[in-house]
Amino acid sequence: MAEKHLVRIEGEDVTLELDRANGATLVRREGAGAWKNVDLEQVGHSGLYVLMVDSRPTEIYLERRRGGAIVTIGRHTFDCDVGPWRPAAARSQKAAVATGRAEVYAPMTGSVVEVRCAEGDVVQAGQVLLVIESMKMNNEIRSPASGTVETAPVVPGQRIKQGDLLVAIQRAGGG
Amino acid sequence: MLLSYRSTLEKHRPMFSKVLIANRGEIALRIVRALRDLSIPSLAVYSDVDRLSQHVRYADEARPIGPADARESYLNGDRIISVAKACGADAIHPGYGFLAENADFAEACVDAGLTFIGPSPDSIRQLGDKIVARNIARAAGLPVLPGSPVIDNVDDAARFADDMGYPVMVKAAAGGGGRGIRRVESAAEFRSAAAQAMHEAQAAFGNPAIFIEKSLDRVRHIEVQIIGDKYGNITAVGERECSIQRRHQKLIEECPSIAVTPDLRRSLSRAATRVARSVNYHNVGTVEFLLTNTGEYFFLEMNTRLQVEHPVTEMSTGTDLVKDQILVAAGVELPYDEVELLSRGWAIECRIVAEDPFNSFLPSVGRIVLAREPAGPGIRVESALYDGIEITPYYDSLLAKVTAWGRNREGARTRMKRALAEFRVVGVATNIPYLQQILDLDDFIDGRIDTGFLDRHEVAPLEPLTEQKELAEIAALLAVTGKERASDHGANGANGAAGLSALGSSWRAQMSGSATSRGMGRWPKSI
Repeated sequence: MAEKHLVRIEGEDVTLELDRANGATLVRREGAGAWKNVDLEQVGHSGLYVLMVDSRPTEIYLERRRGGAIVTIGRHTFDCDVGPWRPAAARSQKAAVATGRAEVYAPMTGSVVEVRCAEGDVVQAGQVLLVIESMKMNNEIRSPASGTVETAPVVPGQRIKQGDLLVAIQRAGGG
Repeated sequence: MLLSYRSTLEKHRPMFSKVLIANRGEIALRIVRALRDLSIPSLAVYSDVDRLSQHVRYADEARPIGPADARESYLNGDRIISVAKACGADAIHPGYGFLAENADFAEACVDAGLTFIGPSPDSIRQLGDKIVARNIARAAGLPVLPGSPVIDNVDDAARFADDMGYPVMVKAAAGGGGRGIRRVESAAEFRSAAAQAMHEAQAAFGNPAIFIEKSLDRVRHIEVQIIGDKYGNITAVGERECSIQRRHQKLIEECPSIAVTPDLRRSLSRAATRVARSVNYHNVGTVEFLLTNTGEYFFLEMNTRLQVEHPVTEMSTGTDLVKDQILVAAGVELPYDEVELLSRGWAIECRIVAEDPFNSFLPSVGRIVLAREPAGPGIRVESALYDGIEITPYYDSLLAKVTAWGRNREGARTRMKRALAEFRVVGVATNIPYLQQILDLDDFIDGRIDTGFLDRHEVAPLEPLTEQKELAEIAALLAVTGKERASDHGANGANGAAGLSALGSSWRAQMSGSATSRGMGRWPKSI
């Protein structure tokens, strides 16, 4: 008897059926055609795994985490939640968060070269807000939204870490 | 020639008793290897964050030289010279970047009784000044693009640019490595561009001076490798084409160039050696030219160091430029002349950098948890990657150089495609997908390339991820529900720890990886 599991990947819920037959592990998307013969095996002690799907091998990099796994295939990384299957109606829907504030965080560690906006400035989406140097390259950081600069707490020369708040913008027409 | 080379080698061995490598990353490792080939002990130096680097681990001796910030370590010439003296080194190899084109450093080496493995301080000084270099080239009879003298204010610069006619290039007089270079299309954008270039030049080179040069459309970047000994023998070692550039940073280089005929090659080689001879140049150097589609060429600049892209020349001419530059620095006579050098086949190099092509090429820093380099027929990889390496914002973003050799250009291209598909880098984003796209473009395949090529071929959006997503779902399901096959090694999960245990496990992982890698041909796109 096949078990049902729920996998959430990139915000999408997928129901997978899992079964075993003659020592083989079989998987299919619920209601989506043929069973696939699958096999996952770790290579040595690294995060490298070989995933066999109907005898087609793919190298993946996999890290377990509570309630799921982070899977890298090719250049793409997928963060997957895995849990027992429940009827769709019972699943909690991720509330869509609408906010009038757009925040720009440092995409990498480096230092601030130039700040081209100040509190109260009206900026357009796509406009360069500041320039950050990292790995000897200047990188222009652009505004994700049109609106008014609420705060711009960095100054030229300042060292910044990835994830630091650089600019916050109150969206035009937003609440 | 070959005989005298051998006998000199015997007589002088060991020519240097120890060589300090004033660099890091792949080029430091490349130099460690050349020294090992010559049985010369190597002395690596490293900043705090590079303690576990391959160039440190593979060297005979390694010394710390300071904090991560290059100004306090790899650019700290006094410190490096004192380490060399204290450790009994008698020569310094600067690699490229950092102190490689710093005439004061070269001079300080000489004053300290150390051999600087590179040209004389005078050659570096003259050719490092782009205006002086242009004058030297002109005096040697080479065609030079119309240009201004050195300018240190925006008003004068604008006057020159207006007179010359747009488009123009604004360049840092003290520049190098593509930094402080800007193309300006019209008078309207000139002032802000010139101001920015001066700002960048001041920040990067400590000198805001710029000059203006006429900019040409649809030109190829062709450069000639030269090498000279201390007895006046100078030889050209073929050309390279480096037209595939993004923001003036070379991305793909090849040797030879599809645009260079035997006649043109002779002409370029003669021009390059004339420039070198006129400044009594010795050691390796590169004379850069712009080549128009009518076959006209102009001197651009001369780089007084080993180039990043030297492997393509080595692959197609069978030379070992790093070894040879050490030999000529030690006073050995040049082991070959141009007639003896036969270019064989075709070599293409791709620079793998930690930049995300799908996110405005932002630098990507972090820990590379898994790095597997390509191999196989015709593939050479220069890299210093290892599992667990931390990519920091302190140094440039070059991770590795992959060079593919083939009997012809297409043979090299297809091998490069295979190599890029085999390359695995997990943990930071790389430009590999973009390189794969470029290699598949019709204009690239046909060799219709110029320095504006990448401006016309932006990154194509990603193909849909349906297949990868489905595989990820299955893998996550099997891992979380404990349905994966029990490993023979009894392994389960835990990994990624830094330090000794990680080194040990990565070694085991490599061993078992090679044992199971036979069936892994299928890989839609590289990691």
